[in-house]
Amino acid sequence: MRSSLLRFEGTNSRSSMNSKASLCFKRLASFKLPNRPPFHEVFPQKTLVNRILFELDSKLTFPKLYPVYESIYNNLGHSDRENALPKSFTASDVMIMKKVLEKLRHRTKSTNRNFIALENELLEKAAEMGDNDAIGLLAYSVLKNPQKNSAEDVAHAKSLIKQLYQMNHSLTLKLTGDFAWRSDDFTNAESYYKRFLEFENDTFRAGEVYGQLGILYLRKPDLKEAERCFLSSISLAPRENVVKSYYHLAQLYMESYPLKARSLMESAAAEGFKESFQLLGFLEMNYFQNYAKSQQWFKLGMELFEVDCYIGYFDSCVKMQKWHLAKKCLETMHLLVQKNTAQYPAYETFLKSREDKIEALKLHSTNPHIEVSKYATQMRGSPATKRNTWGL
Amino acid sequence: MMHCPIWARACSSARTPGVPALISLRDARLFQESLSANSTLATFKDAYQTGKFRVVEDEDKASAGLNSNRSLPMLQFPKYRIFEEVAKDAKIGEWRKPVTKWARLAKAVLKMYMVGLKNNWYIRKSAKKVTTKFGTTPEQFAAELYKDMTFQEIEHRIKGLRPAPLRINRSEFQELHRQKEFWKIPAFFALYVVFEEFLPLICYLLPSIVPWNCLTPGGFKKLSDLRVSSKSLLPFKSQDKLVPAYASPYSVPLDNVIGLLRSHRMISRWKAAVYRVSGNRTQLCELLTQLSQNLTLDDWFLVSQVVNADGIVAITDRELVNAVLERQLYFKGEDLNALASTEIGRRLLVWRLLIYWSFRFHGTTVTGGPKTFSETWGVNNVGIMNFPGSTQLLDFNTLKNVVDQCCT
Repeated sequence: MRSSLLRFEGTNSRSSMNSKASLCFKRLASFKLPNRPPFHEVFPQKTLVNRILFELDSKLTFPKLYPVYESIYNNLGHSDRENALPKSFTASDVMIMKKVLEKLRHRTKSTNRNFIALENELLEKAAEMGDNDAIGLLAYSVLKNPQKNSAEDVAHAKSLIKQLYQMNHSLTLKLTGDFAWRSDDFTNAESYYKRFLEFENDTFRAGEVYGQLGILYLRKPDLKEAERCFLSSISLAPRENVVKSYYHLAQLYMESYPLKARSLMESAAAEGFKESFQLLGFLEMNYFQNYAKSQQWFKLGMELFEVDCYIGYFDSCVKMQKWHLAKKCLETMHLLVQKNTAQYPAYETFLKSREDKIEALKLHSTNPHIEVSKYATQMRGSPATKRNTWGL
Repeated sequence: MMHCPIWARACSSARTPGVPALISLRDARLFQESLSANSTLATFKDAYQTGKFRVVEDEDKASAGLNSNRSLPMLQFPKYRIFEEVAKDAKIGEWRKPVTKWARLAKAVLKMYMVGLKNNWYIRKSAKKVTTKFGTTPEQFAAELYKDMTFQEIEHRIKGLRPAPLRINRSEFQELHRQKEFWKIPAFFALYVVFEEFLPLICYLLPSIVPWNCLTPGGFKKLSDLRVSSKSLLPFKSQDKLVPAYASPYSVPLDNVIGLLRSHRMISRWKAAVYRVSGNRTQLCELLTQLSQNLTLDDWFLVSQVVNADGIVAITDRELVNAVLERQLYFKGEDLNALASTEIGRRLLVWRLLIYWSFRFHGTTVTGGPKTFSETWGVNNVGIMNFPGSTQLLDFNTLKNVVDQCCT
């Protein structure tokens, strides 16, 4: 890992912050990435990048950015080589380049460590060029892991944040809110987020902040306010950024608007939000009575070893009278619980509550292969341990 | 994932909600046991016995914001009253009395129609004011109110608070629902222009064309008999369980859904036919959901008042009849208006409602319980829709078991 030392030599005034700020990043440790694939092989297609640039409302184009990306990518890990940024490039352009990579990461739901390094490099460059967003992000990355940074770095990061905060720099307000959130200081987090919204309330970032505020209101609980925040969140930010807002809003609507809840939950599931699979499965099975569809959702959850999804899948199989599938599901659950005893209480409850169905299963199968009582006696002697958990 | 107070509880088949037991009416002892087991029933009994909850004839004596008499039909036809008045009037010559009787009756009926139509206009106006204020349609607003209710239940369960008023009161909510009758006026007026003095006869033969608050007791009886016949379509009727199991609106057969919606005047004949032909099940099931939510919301308004209000809660006899009618808590052939006009009949109707509420709301937050309504019964459970709450509907034979217990 690479750590950066921030050196901010700017003045306290707002104007001088942008123009005169200069940062010096000393790479304490650098490493060479062995076997880094050629850039043209890993960088996404022009269409996708152009679409992201359009969404970011950038004047930059793919042909203009590609050589810059390539140059920085090829120089990664070579602290001695100077990356050639065109003279026309401003700090905000570099930040746009960073945001493109970030969006690609969200959209493709995959991380490439070379691209992460490229993102970091761009962030540092933008900070060096005096971009306040970049400075704020870097300063907070230092504060996130103070033990991995020197006391001097931490103190310097703090002073930078203080200056940005005094300038009412919106991203810093958001990051301060996030920091308070991580420290379980929800009252302060709320006030920072509200302050952020005073300066910026119609951007992607505001959408994210509304999402966080919504969760805060859920905790209180002030559900009407939470609903309002989630609605603002999903109207402002793209789905991949605020998937939790979709999920929580779906939960809020579960009792009054199941149809809306399903649609919102499907949006969350489309982004791969794993908690949504079982809820969608149960909603389709128990409310909308669409067993085939519920099975598909449960299958997705089962791939992530969600025990509730196994239970739902078993139920839907029984309802559809697909006995062989139900039997197979029961056997798989049996094996899973053997490997992970933490799930045993849920499994036991399942066995007790589905006794009649399991009996019915025996009638439809010559070798049901279920030794429930035997298994239960075995398990009572061996309580769940931490080492046995799946760690999902 | 972060832990939130909202749990994905309602749709999980892994948990079976604990539901209240049925209220037994077989004999006085069993009813006494039900009273001990169901604290909500005991609360209602006390409220009714002490007069905290009562039924009144005069709207001025009823609780404010709870009743809307102007949107409901009359209970008694004024024929006998008018005839008696004319008969006793010494100023009218004997030879003139038969003609005067009928002339005054015709005048009273015409006046009733005029007042009814005027009231429809006022109801429409006040409903419009509410929808304009909140910027929605009446149907959407009812759904919004239901959502508010569920939110409030969750919040109050966590914070341990008593139910608070919603955005509008019951009277406004009911008028919002009943303002649909306004659209009958053009057809009604056209019929008047065409048939003139034969209009009352047409109204008697086809009561469904008459705006709800212009109905005569005879017309009301015909419609109530029609509505109760759809009772067999209710989901709990097709279950062989004592306590109805969970049934979502999407689990009800399509013919039953249409039948229920038609009998509750939620959908027109042609619309139902279009949905049936096009196979649009979702729209019909959503309407059934709306019906179930409206009934639950109305129950919530009344129950929260009876349980939590500090003063006297009084509903009018017209509202009592309408509540029993909407919940189908009567037998075919029963004249609800006649029942509500006698002391014993009124008591019967009130107890039917109290038993129905006690079964539905026992253990829920509105009656001081630990669970929300949806947690107790499941999301939009139409399995308990219009379920009387006891093994059999209360009648005059079983009423004495109830009354005996209340007097001891």
